[in-house]
Amino acid sequence: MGLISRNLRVLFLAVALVIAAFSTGISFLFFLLYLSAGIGIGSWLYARRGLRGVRADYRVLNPRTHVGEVLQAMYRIENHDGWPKPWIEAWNESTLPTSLPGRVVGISARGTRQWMAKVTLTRRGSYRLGPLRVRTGDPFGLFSSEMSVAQATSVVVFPEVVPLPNWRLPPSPIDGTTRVKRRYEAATPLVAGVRPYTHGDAINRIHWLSSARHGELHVKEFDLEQAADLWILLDLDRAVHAGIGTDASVETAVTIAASIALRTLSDNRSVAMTASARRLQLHQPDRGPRVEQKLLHLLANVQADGTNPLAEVLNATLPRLRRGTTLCIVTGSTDRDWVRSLATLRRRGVAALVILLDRASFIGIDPDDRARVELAAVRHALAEYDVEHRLVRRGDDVAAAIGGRGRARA
Amino acid sequence: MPDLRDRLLYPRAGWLSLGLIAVMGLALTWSIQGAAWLPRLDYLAPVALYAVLVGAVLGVLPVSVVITLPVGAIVGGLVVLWTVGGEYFPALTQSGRIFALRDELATWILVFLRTGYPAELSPYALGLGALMWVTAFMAAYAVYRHNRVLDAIVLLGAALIVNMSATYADLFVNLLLFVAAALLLWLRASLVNRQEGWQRRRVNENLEVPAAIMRSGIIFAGASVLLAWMLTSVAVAAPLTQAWRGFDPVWSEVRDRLEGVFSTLTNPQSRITGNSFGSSFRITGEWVSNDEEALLVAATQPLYMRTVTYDLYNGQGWQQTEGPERLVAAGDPLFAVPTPERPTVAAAVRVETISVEMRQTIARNLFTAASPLEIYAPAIVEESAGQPVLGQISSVGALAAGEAYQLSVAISEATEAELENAGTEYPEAVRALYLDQSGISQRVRDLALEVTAGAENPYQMADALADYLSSDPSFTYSTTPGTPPAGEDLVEFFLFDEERGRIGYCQHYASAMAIMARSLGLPARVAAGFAPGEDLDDGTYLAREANAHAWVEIYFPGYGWEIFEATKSIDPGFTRLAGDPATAGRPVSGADPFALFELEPGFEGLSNLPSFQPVPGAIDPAGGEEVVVEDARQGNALVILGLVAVGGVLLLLHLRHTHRRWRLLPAGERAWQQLAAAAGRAGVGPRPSETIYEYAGWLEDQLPRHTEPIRTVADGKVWQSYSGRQMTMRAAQRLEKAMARLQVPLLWLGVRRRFRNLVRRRP
Repeated sequence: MGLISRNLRVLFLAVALVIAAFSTGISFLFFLLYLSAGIGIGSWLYARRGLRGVRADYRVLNPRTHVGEVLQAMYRIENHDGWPKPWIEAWNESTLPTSLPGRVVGISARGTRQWMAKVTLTRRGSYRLGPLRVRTGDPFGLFSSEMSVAQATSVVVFPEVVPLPNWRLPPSPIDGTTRVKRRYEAATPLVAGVRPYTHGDAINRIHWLSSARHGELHVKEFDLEQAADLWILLDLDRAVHAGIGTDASVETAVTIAASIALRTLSDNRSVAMTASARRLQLHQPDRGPRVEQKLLHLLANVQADGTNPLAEVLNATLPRLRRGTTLCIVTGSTDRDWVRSLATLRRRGVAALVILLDRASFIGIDPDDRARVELAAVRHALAEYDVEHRLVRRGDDVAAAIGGRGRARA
Repeated sequence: MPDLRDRLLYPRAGWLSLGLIAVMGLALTWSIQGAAWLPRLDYLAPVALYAVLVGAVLGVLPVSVVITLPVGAIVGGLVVLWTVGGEYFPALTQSGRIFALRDELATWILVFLRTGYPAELSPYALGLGALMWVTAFMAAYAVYRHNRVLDAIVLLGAALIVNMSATYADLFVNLLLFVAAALLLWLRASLVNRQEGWQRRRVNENLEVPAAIMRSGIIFAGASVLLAWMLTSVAVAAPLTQAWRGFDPVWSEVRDRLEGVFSTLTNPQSRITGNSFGSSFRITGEWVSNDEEALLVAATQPLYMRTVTYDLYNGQGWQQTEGPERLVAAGDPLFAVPTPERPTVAAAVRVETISVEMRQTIARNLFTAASPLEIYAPAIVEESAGQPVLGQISSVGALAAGEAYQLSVAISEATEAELENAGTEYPEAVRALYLDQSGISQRVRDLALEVTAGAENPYQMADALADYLSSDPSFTYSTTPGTPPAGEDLVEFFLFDEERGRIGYCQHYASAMAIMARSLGLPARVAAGFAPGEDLDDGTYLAREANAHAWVEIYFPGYGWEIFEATKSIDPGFTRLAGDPATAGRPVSGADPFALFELEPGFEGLSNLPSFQPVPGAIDPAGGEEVVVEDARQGNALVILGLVAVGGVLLLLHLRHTHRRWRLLPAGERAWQQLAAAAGRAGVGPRPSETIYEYAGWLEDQLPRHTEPIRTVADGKVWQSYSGRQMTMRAAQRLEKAMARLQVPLLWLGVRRRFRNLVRRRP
């Protein structure tokens, strides 16, 4: 029975019933014939009329959001028909890893149903939420009617961003790149306080309001200006990443890059980024909310699909770094070639920070000796060149691991 | 283990389905019991319920089919043996019942192989029980193992339809019960499937949805049932009956063969076999009857209404020797050659045109009386052994209640003196068929001689035999006679068994007289039909089912077949005049057998019927014209045609409405809408997300030979939508032509796609 389709079986039975009834004239066969015809035709009409007078729409409330947050969409179905609709199914086809849940509702005559669908986002990326599909059918499941309404919507899921309240940008090896206890009299944009006037102080350093309040002359003291820019280099060479899904090292790398970028932007600093994916993505230094969106878009869509070794990427990026910039490299590479490139940075007044991912830990097995040795070697090389670095393993608290503490942004 | 527990406690099909399948099984059971195939069928209900339960449990268990089906068969065998044994042999122990069933089955097989007419009922009960078990078990198993509700419905429904088709008993209530349970089961299964689909696709359902679906489904199903019931009461037709006419001989042969096997079954209203009017009958068990009206006969006197005659006695019953069937056109003589069925002494008969109205459908049997000459409706005559004798007469199709026909009959008015002088110059056909003395014991012959001692001619002998059987106080009429032991001759048992003999009903008496008459050299046959019914005092006689009867006919040269009533307590309703022996001469040999047709009918019974609804193809006896009367079937066919016409009109109105809607649109838009609608009907309509050219390109891939008109329509739509200018008349005409060229390809594309969907197996 399973070798032929259900439709063919139904057709065969219907034909047999028609022939039997019209050959014999037996009334109960006609009863079955009329009943079958009634249910068949009635079901078709039922399904066909099922979407008459139905209006539907949906709206995504937060089409740009972060991993771990909840995507919300509001659905609304109106029945302008005079007949109630026992069931109307509404759903979106989407490319989301976990799609928005559909819903089946019954709507009274000239009634309206409205609901909110939510789904927790687990993977960053750009997704497409298709048009709203609305379907109904007859009670016997023979026929169904379906329509597509509204337009497709794009949803961008930004990477998870970890608050870094204790994060401090690594200082450049030049004056003005770090906050120090010593205060300077030289004028900078950062006023630290006032002190009583002493002989030799410049007249233009006198703070007249304070002098008036205290009844004696006071002069202003200044902090030296911090480093201006941060350049994040996100190594997306597929050879240096490991793990799958949300536990992949690339996800941690992207989260780290996003967290540092947003934290730095919140300090009103310029942030630039190089992502060595299949195509080298490069954003020039800039600051402000617009940059934040651009960087998050970039980070939402990058994958560990690059083929360029970090050393080559560094060679292409270093000429763009200007004095006073801090370079932050996020990589899982244990190749020591790229460390050598960093040796010249100090001389150029560029600070460097390396967020080193323990690749072996993301594979999910205990690292073998070779991996352990390679990791130790690259850390040793970084120390040798006096390059600050942080090691991040799978499952580590990112905020703590890279120098800050805090919770993931919900 | 928790999985197994959940699987058992919460099967996918749910336990409500079990109740619904049980109701369907019970509806089938009650329909079989209603048909009364066997006198004792109470065991079927527990068999059905056990089968459903076992089928469901084995379906739910995570065990291979290699194990479950044999286990089901073994359990079924035990349950059937247990229940049938308990019903048929309640006095015995369990093991005794098994042995008794075994013995009866063995006897049944032996008797069937020897005579073809076994008497034991328990083998039939076993067979019915086994069929019931298999049907109900497989239905429940299909639902609980494979979730195939449609298969379960088809399986049980087919059994129900077969049972209902095989009987005339009114079992519509059982069908209604079955339909209600089946539709509920289907609704529920559909809902469960839908809910599973929603779960798979992460579609949440509101709490009220399942109840709303079931509620709307029940209302919809109820309305469908009501509509079907109303239509059934007004629109039933059988226009294809004639198309199957060529299979009638095959069906007759099958039926005759079945009668040997199933003649013991007691269903008095069987369509296929087992009734008194088939080509054979076996005398056994209880005579079951009722007072339902069967025939209304308009005639001048009470008549025996014959439909079949039997020439061959087999020790257990009678059968008609197989012979060819002839279709006799309405109004044609039943026999075109000399036949013993037609009297040749014109002075001894009175020709009448009588009318017979069916009060219920009795298979395709036509009922005639005395010596039938012509039937004014198409008839099929079966001649026993190819001889020109009336073996069986039937209509072309089953006659519905209310349908009537007319026939000319020659009613014998022969006097006793004439019959006494008829002589023994029997025609060849009579000698060949009705004088067979094989198997007649000396005991029977001696008794016949003893009874007819002093009789000097065949008539006196026949009269003495009939008088003996109907008047002798040692005979008792009973509808519950004893059954002869296996292998014993029925007539011997009836006449000579000291304990249970001489008790019986018409078939016993008729058989005894026919055999005794043949032992004396009288050509005798047993006829079956209806004895004269109730005189309604308006020129009509009402025969009820209780008047179903078997009687003896003895042949007298020149006068044909004369009825002799041997059954005790049956009043023949006629008497023969004594006549004058001096004037009663012997019939002239070789008289013109067609002389009777020159006689004018002395009676027209048509006017006595309250209404006359002729059978299809009936003609007017006077003029030979086909009777044009608005009969039910023609009317019903008109109703069906009317329904089809209404559907066609609604379709036309819908199309017209659609075209009106398009009429006001600009040419480009109109052509595009028409294209989208036609493609939508074909199942390939545009999607909202597609642009015009995207869709046109896709459609061109589907119809590669019609890219040009598709492109034309798409260009027209784009031009109309975005150019902001009016389209010229010529361009509009070109669009219309392009659209017209696409209509047929799109229609054909829809047919192809639907056919592909039809035959494609569901994953």
